[in-house]
Parts: sequence; structure tokens; C-alpha cells
Amino acid sequence: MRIRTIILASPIVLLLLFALAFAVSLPFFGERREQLVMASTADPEILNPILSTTAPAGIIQSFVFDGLMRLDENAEVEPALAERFELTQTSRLYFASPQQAAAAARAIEAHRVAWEELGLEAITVEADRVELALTMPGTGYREALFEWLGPIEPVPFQRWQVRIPPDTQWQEEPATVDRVLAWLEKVQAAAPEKPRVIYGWKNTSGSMEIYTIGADGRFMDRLQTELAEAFGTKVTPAEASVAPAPATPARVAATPPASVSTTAPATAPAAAPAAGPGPGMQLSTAGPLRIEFDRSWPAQDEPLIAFYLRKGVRWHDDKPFTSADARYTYEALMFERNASPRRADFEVIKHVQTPDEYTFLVRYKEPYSPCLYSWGMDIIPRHLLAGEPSLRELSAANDFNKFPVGTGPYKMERWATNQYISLVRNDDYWEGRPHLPRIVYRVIPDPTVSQMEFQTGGFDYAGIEPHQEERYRKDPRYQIFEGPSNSYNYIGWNLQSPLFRDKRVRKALAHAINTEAIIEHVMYGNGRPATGPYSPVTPWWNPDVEPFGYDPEKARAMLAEAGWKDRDGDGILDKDGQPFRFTLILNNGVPVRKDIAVLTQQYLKRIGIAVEVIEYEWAVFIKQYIDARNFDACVLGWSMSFDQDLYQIWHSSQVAVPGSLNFVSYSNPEVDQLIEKARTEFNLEKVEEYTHRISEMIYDDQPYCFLFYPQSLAAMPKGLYTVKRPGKDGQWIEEPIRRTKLGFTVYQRWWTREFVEAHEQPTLTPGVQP
Amino acid sequence: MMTFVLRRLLVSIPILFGITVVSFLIVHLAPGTPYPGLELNPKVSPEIRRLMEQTYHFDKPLIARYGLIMKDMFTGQIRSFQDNERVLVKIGRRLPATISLNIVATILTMAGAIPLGIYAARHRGTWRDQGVTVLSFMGIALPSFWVAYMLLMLFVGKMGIPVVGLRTFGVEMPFGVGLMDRLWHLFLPAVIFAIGGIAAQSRYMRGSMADAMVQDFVRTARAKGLSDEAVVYKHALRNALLPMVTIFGLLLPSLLGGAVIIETIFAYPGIGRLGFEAVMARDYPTIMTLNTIAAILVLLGNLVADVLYAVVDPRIRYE
Repeated sequence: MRIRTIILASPIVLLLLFALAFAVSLPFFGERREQLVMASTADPEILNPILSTTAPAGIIQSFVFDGLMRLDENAEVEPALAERFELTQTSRLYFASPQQAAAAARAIEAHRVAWEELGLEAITVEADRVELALTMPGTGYREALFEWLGPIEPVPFQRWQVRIPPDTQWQEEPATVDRVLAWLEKVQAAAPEKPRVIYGWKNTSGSMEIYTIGADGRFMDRLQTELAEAFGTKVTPAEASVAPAPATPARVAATPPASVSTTAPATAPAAAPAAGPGPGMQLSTAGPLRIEFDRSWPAQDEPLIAFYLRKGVRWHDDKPFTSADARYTYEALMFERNASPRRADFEVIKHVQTPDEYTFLVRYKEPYSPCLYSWGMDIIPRHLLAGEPSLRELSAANDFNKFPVGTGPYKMERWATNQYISLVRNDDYWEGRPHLPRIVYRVIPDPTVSQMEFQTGGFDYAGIEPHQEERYRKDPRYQIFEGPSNSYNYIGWNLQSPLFRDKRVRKALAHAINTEAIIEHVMYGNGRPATGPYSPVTPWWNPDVEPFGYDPEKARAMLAEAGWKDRDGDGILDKDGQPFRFTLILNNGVPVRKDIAVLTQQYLKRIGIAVEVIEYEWAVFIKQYIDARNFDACVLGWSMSFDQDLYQIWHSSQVAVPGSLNFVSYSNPEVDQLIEKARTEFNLEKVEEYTHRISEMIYDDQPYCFLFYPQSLAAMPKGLYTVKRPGKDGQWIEEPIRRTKLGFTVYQRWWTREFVEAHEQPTLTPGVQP
Repeated sequence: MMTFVLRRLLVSIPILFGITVVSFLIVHLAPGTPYPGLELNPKVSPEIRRLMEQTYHFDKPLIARYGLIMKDMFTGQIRSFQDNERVLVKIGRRLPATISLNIVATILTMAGAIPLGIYAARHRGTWRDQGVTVLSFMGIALPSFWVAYMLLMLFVGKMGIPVVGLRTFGVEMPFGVGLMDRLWHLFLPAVIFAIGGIAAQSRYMRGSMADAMVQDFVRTARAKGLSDEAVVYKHALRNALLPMVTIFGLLLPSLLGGAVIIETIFAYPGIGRLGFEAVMARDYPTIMTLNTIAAILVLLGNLVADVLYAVVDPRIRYE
């Protein structure tokens, strides 16, 4: 009897228990606190700006930390932790003798009236070298200056790469590179005569650079042998000796000698022939050490950024923020055991200095204008991290990676793993106290559930998919924020494949693929035809480039002109007996790319091209096809940063670099030159000029079929928040939330709800323009 | 008995070794990097990627990596690629959520399956039995993610009741209410577990109950003039429950295993999601540790089931 009761009653009792639980907590369900709630599909995992790689981590870090600089609503750099900054440059010209140097100085002095135009402030002569103080970094001064110099030619400043193969024995000793550097210093001290070593430089992964002036093959050969001997490795003299090539002075950056450049064809700048080390310069590969010529410059240009830091800024634990923290952040980025994914932009730094607590000087090895954007890097506190073996191996008591301490508008409050992260406002924030007391970041992994939660008010705004746009637009409860994103989708043609080598063919393909229709069908109209490698949200985008437009007849004609005709009547174009047939690859899991691939297949079939579409898992796709350059065509997209640098993706020097991003093997000497100019130019108008030209040329070359810039879409309940932010002149600006070039979340630290307005106005620290 | 247990434990060692080798190979022979998503980032140069590979021993031969990972795993020092936290700590943090969900789901399953099985067995061959059978097969056939979405559309979409997560988000509740709120949040995921569980377990229950009902001792009990209740719930049920004991053994691995789909849909911070996210992020140490723990639990679970068998059924003796 008892058993039966228990068995039959237990399900009912259980259900009643759940009903009770529901009934008890029901009254609390509707209650919401004053807080901004965001959501994402993934946990940030780690909140250390040096190490983190995920988008959620970036969002949280932007609240907790500040950079020295930040981007304003127009995507322009503005000072943040640094109150202002100054850009200058020191350039050194080396000459064959002190007499020549003195003559050069006299020639420059003679043109003193024109100094200001060049940004030249002062010159000093020391022995065989002339040092120029310039007010603007870059190489723009050279042309005029070398005209003044006339026949007096400077000795080239050269860079050499020392290759230390990883399988050599002495590589195992971690300090090897440091010992080489110390040894180089000794060499330099012992032999001050030319040719000489200016300095050595340690790079990522144990390789190094040596900077010399006027070095020739014989000298580098000796250096290599001595280096090898000093470190107990054998270099047989016969193998090591190479034909000496006299160092001829050069004005223009020299190209790598032919024997070194293995796959970079036609990179010679139009201006002058290669100078510096001659063809015999690829040094011996015997022994573990190889010194390879990299490039040379007519002058040593070293830009300097001087950051003047804000005073009175405090870390969340109340310790003062000083230049030591900025310096520590740089050191942490460069420390090898941290293996920071963010170090690329900082490798061009020669050294940093902190003359006092509020001055931070950064000296660059060469002009590199994207460096200004790189100082949006979040600054981390030295006092909490300096003693650690590495940021990846914090001591047990240090929970910085999970509970970071920054200088930002919000402080960490709680991290409930895989559930939410809550942040409370930093009352002490240097820009003034933020309005919203709390910001919470929820993790809801399933996109469908996330939409349901959003619609029931579980969080405050949501990115929406193109197909959902219409529904949200019709719903009077929501407002929609939209604008082009800083990204584009494309089909990349492998230019090494004989099919796509002909530019006429690529242009024909651009006419054959109906981009407008793809935007309509795949993106529900939420996109805009792409016309080059920059997005319209950046000033680098060229508004004058017209999209090719869909014209299958023209495409057919162009293909016929290039020799592709259907000669055997099988419906597929052919040339020299080869049918126009190729494989279009993509990674799985991205529906948009799959739709693009299928539509492309259809469009190309119409003009007689047979396309096979294959999907791969991401890691396989990258490793076996993209990195190996083992594909005909691929569907991909780029998400861009706001700087203008296209070097990694479009410069021909990257074609031969394993794993680099110019996987379509694009090479156009003129584009190369413009890319190099753009990354050494600090005058934004000139950069725009270069990038507009780059856009035009790349779009015309069609190494990609540029498809579209997707429209980024987000929805938010109407009237939930407004912005009340401090203006640059110290006034409060009240405005509705709107979309800017950086999206609509730019002023999130100044978002406010009407009912939050009870608190008093914070005092302002107006932003100071440099 | 002791020798049996000892022998089984000893045999488990080579099996476990084999399992670690196989799961290591499956994980490491698949292409992947410790920096997924950074392959096509212009700001992450090939040199930096190489540096990251070095940091995580990707430059070492497979056998060396196996050695390193095993050493770390059995000293408890194994660390996640994603945040360098100790994997055991990560698992430990999610353990309470997963265990509580599984306990509630198991109780619900048993509470539903046993009466349903008995009911079907008592009405064997009638339309009632067939009705239960049809329902059971529906329960087995329904994909759990679909049921989850349907329930969510009803509760969240239509009624606006918070069910997602471990507890109601963004609301401060007094302790007792908070506890009730947590219990309520267990309800839907546990019900979804239980739908499949009840459907399957009730079939077993029906089978063993039906077997027991035709045994001689049942006929004897009825001949003695005992009431139907006493015959069914006292004499038949005891014997029919015997096979259900195995389920306790099988429960052990699922107790820690978690459920990837349900935990992901309900944003429930359990071990299933940890494993899923580790796979997506190619977090090899976490994947390996979870695999190994699961393997150990399966081995232990089988052992526990065998021992329990001997405990409840005096006819079974291990030599």
C-alpha cells in the first residue's frame, strides 16, 4: 500500500514542487535594476588586453581599460589617457667622410628659407653624420633635401636579417640572441670606422635584424664568420666567402638583390636601380647562421611620439596611473613568453622612454603611420603585474586575467562564468562619472533564444540578421541602427592559376556576377556593392570608383577576346583545348558565403563557366588550401581595422611569405609603392590621396571579385536610452543615440535613462586636442 | 568480491591508457591551431602565430605533446589554452550546475518511468498499453532541441517568463526565493531530459514488470488471496526493479557529462557547454581532460553496476 502511494504520488509531488517554485519567484520576475544589459553568444574567457582575442573580451575591456588614444565618432584618433601628443622625427644622413658631411650641412644651411616647408627645424653635424630634427615624421622631406645636396651622396643605411635556423644547437639556449646583440655592441665599439654596425635588433621567434651603414658583401661575410666563431659554430671559409660587391650610395630604397628575392618578381621601384649589396650578397648557408640583405634607405628616419599623460588618473584600486604603466604595457606586448597576438604594430618601435611620470616617449625604427592607431591599445597596471613570470602564467593569488583592474569608466564587479559579467561605474573616472550605475554583459549562446530574450526585455540591444530586419522595422516598439560595416565580402581568384592570370578574364567575371542581385537575395538588400579594399566608413575609401555592373553579354565578349570560346559545343568555354572549369572553396558554417558561392556558380554557368563548390571545415580550409595557395577561387570576407595599412594583404613581398595573407598572389609594383608610401606618410590628406589611388588600381586589377560591404544592423527598444555626453568645449551635449562611423555604441559610457537623472552632474575634464 | 573489484580496476588501467591515446590522436590529428580565428588577421603576423604555437608546444612532435599533456593531466596542472586557467578548476566551477540538473532530471525520469511502466504492464495488450507505447515512441523520437525551442517559444516568447540560465537574470531575491527560482530554472531543461528518459525507461520497466507478472511466485501470491495491490507492488515490483539497478551505473558518466544541446539552448553554465566551447576554440587540454574524465566514469559506472547487481541479487556471485 505504502509503496504504491509513493510511486504514484511522486510525479505529482514533484510537479507541485516546481509549481510552488514558480509561484514563489513569480513576483520578482518583472523587477529590473538600473543597468545597461548587453548579450553575446560567448564568454570572453580572458580579460587581459595583451592576450585576449575574442570580440566579447574587446567589449568588456573597452569599459575597464583606456588607451593612450582612442577613436572618436568619426573614426579619427583622439587623445584619451594621454592628454596630448607630439610627433617629430630624427633623421640621420651618413657620409663617406666628415668633410662630406660638413659640405652636406653647408648645402642644407644654404636653403634655410625652405626649411619650414619641409618641417626641418635644426641640423647638427657630428663627424661623418648629419642629424636632422623634423617636425613631421615621414620621408617626404627627402626629395627636396637631396636636390640641395646635389652631388654629395649619403652612404646607404641598411637592414640585414640574421636567420638563426631553429634546429641549430645554440638556438636552444634562450639567451643566444641577447649574446649576439652584446657581441655586436663590442664589434661596433672596436671598429668605429666604416662600414659599421649601427645597432642590432631582436625580433619575434629568435630572429634578429642588424642595421649597418655602408656595409658591403665582404664586411657582412666577415661579420657572419666572426659571429659564427664567437658562438662556436663552424662556417667553412670557402663556403662563406662571396664575391664582394662595393657599396654604392643610393638615394632610393634598394630592392633585394636578385639572388635573395625568390618569388617577388618586378618589385623594382621605378625611380632608381638597386644599390647597396650586389647580387653576390646572399651569404653562406653553411653553419647555422645566415645574414641576408633586407633593404636599404638613403637615410635613417626615426619618428618619435611624445605622449603627455593626463595627471590625476587613478587605477580602480586607487593607485596613480603614470608613464611606468604605459611603458610596462609596451614591455608586456613584446615579452616573448606572453606571446601576445597584438605585438605586430609594436615591433617597429625601437625603444620607449619615460623621462618623468607623465611623459612617455616612443621612438620608431622607421616611419610607420598606422602606429597612431595602435596606441588605442589598452594600458595595463604595472603595479599589479610586474613581478609575474609571464601574463600567461600568473601566480595563483593574482586573478588579473579574470578580474582586471583598469582606469576605464567601469570596474569589474562580478564574473559568473558562462552566465554574465557585471561592471559598476567608476565614480572616479577622469572624464567624469558615467551615468549608468551598472553594465551587465550576458552570455546567451543560442541565437534563437537570444532573440526571444531580447524581445522580452532580457537585454537592451541586439544585432540583427538581414532576414530579421523587416520584422523589426514593422514593429513600432523598436528603432533600428544601420550603417555600412568596416568589412567586405569577396571572391578571391588565385592569380597563380592560369585561368585567372589574365586581367581581362577577371574583369569579365566581375561583369558576369550580379552583385546587386546577390545583395538583394543573400543580404535582403542590406549591403552595398564593394569597390575596392577599403570600406566607406573610412576616409581611405574612394567614392569615385564605379562598380563594374552586371553585364553578361559584355562578359562573354571579354572572355572571347581573351580566347575563351565554346569551340566543342559542350556549353563550357574552352581555350587551347582546356575547358573553363574551376573549384570555388569556402569554409562551412557561414550561410552567407554558401549562398554567395551557389549564386556565383549559377551566374558563371550562364556564360559557360563550370564551377564546383566545395565547403571545408575552417582549420582545413586555412591550412590545406588558403595557406598552401592550393585553390582556384575562394569566398571570404575581410573585417578591417581603421588604419590604412594594406601591406599584409596586398604587398607583393607577402606572396612568398608562408602563411601570409596575400594568398591570391597579387603583385602590382605601383600598388606596392603606394602602400609603402601610405604607411610612411603622416599627412592624412596625402594618405587619402594614396589610398584612393590604391583602391582604384586594385579594383581595376580585380584580384578579388569585390562583392559588397554588408550593412550592420542593430535593434533597440525605442527611447530606452539617450546620450548625455561632455562636448569638447566643456558643455553637456544631449542627443538621441545615433549611429556613427564606429557604430552606435560609441558613447556608451554616457548613455542614460531618464529616471537615472536623479544624481548630480559630475565635473568635467574637457578633452584637449593635440 | 574484493578480488573481482581489484581485477576490474587493474584491467581498467590499460583500457584507460588506450582511451587517452585514441582521444589524443583524434583531437591532435584534426587540423587546428591554438589561435583559431587569428589565421587571417593582418595584425597577427606568421611570426606571432609561430610564437603562440611554441608557447603551446605545437612545434613539438606528437609523442612529446602526448607526454606533456599526460604529465600535466595526472599532476592536475593541465591548463586551458583559452585563459590558462587550470582545467580542473574550470570543470569544478561548472560541476554543481551539471550535477544538480542531472539529479533533478533523473528523479523526474524515475518518477515518471516507473509508474508508467507498471501501468502499461498491468494493462498489457489493451488499448491503454498501446497508448503508452505510442506516447513512449513519440517521446523517444522527438528531438530534444525541437522540444526545447517549442517550450521556450511558449514560456519566453508567449508568456514572457524567464527560464533561461541558472536563475532569473538581473533581479535580487531573498535567499529562500532565490533557491526556489533556481529550482524553477531547472524545470524546463530537466523536463526535456526526462521526456526522452521516461519514454525509454518506461519501456524497460514495462518489460521487466511484464516478465515478473507471469512468474510462479506471482501466481502463488495471487493464489494465497493477496490483494492485487500487494501482488503487484510488493511481490512483482521488487523483482522487476532489479534490472533498473544497472541504470545507476550508467548514470554516473552522464552525471558529469552534461548535455551540450540543452545546456547551450538554455544558456545553462554546465559541463556540456564547457566541452562544446572547448571544441569550438580548439582548447585541446580541456577537451582531453573531459574525454578522460568521461572515460574513467564509464569504466567506474560499469563496475558499480556489476557490484550493485551482486548486492541486490543474491544469486549473482563474482569469483
